[in-house]
Amino acid sequence: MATLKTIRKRIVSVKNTQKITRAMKMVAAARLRRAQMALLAARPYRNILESNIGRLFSDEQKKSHNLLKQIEEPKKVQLLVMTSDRGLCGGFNGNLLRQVEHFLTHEATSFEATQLAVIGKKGRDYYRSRQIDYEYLQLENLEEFSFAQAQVMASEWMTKFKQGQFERLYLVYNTFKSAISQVPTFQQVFPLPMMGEDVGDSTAKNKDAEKEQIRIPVKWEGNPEEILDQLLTRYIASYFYLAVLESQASELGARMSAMDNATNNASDMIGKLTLQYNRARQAAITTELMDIVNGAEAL
Amino acid sequence: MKLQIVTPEAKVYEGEAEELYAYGPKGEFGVLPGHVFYVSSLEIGRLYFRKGSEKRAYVVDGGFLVADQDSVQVLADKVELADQLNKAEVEKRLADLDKRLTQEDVSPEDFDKLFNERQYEEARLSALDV
Repeated sequence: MATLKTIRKRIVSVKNTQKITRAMKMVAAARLRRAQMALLAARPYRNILESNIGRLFSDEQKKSHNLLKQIEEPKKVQLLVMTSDRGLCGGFNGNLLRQVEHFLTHEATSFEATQLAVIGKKGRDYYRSRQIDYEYLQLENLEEFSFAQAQVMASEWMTKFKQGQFERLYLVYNTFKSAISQVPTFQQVFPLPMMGEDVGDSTAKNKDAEKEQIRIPVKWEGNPEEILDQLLTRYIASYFYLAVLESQASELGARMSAMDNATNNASDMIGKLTLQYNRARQAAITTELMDIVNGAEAL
Repeated sequence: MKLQIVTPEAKVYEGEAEELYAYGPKGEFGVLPGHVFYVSSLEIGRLYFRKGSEKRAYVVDGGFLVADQDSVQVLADKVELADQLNKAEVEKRLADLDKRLTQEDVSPEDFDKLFNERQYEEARLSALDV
């Protein structure tokens, strides 16, 4: 049976761990609020851009523009996986990497080649230890990731796409639903997914609306092609931007709930250990009393 | 008409507006309710709208504007609220830039950069006049 001293030591150590996990939870919560606000602020831009691109491009343009043209059976596919630099964030990285694994073993079999690019040290370590080829991208200053940074990133990938280094690109990241729920997402960016395609039931309505829109002639100030191209570049950049923000918020959310769990577990453990400690102490007192009583009787 | 002003990083304004002015490639233009379906790129310049007797002015650093029957959507790259500007400071910077622009040893690249900066300061000044 554990001695009083060892139990006491363990209680102290668990309490210290709890202090750390509680502090980490607080820090993650504070940063999460900021990340969440940035995310909410960034969503409207993309949505407005999307609806405008949907109604400004004609059907022919959607079929012929090299950023919009769909390729039925791509040969080379590129994944850009967004993981975190630091651990202690629950299933954040694990879930995402498992989804990638699933994609590679199931869906990617029809492609000739699937290239991996990884953001975040955790993802890098994962693929390095499994000796899978990957390209590691380091992103500076993720905490204050700006749209300008996203534009640089997007234009680099766009160049690679235009050079034919891949025919399809997926951004793979955790979408932030809430602090306790993050959903691994594969977002196709090159070529851009068809607008209004995945709406399901409302597609019929959308098509009618689109037709009506086309009948209204657009008056352009400046060169239409140029404006459309610029709209598309920004639209693509906004995908990268939002992906980073979503991933960032998800990481903090995951860390917050993981640390919350850890803090609760520590409390439970302290409770159990305290019980054990009290029992041991009582046992010690009882034996001591017995000794005294026996000693007194012997006299 | 419904007005939405957004930047990649924030939603700046959403609400009603009775008229709106912005800077396009051909200079300042106005949008009133019932406009034709219209798309314009935006240049560095002021943008302001009126709602009742209330006016609000911004400085815009490029972007796009899409107008139709009953709504205007401004997709700006960067937006600054004119109320947060200090006129004296803007004028000081403007004078400063003028001085640097007229120096003889300015390289062409620097000149372009300074010229853009000057345009932006001018836009700020005009936004303050609204």
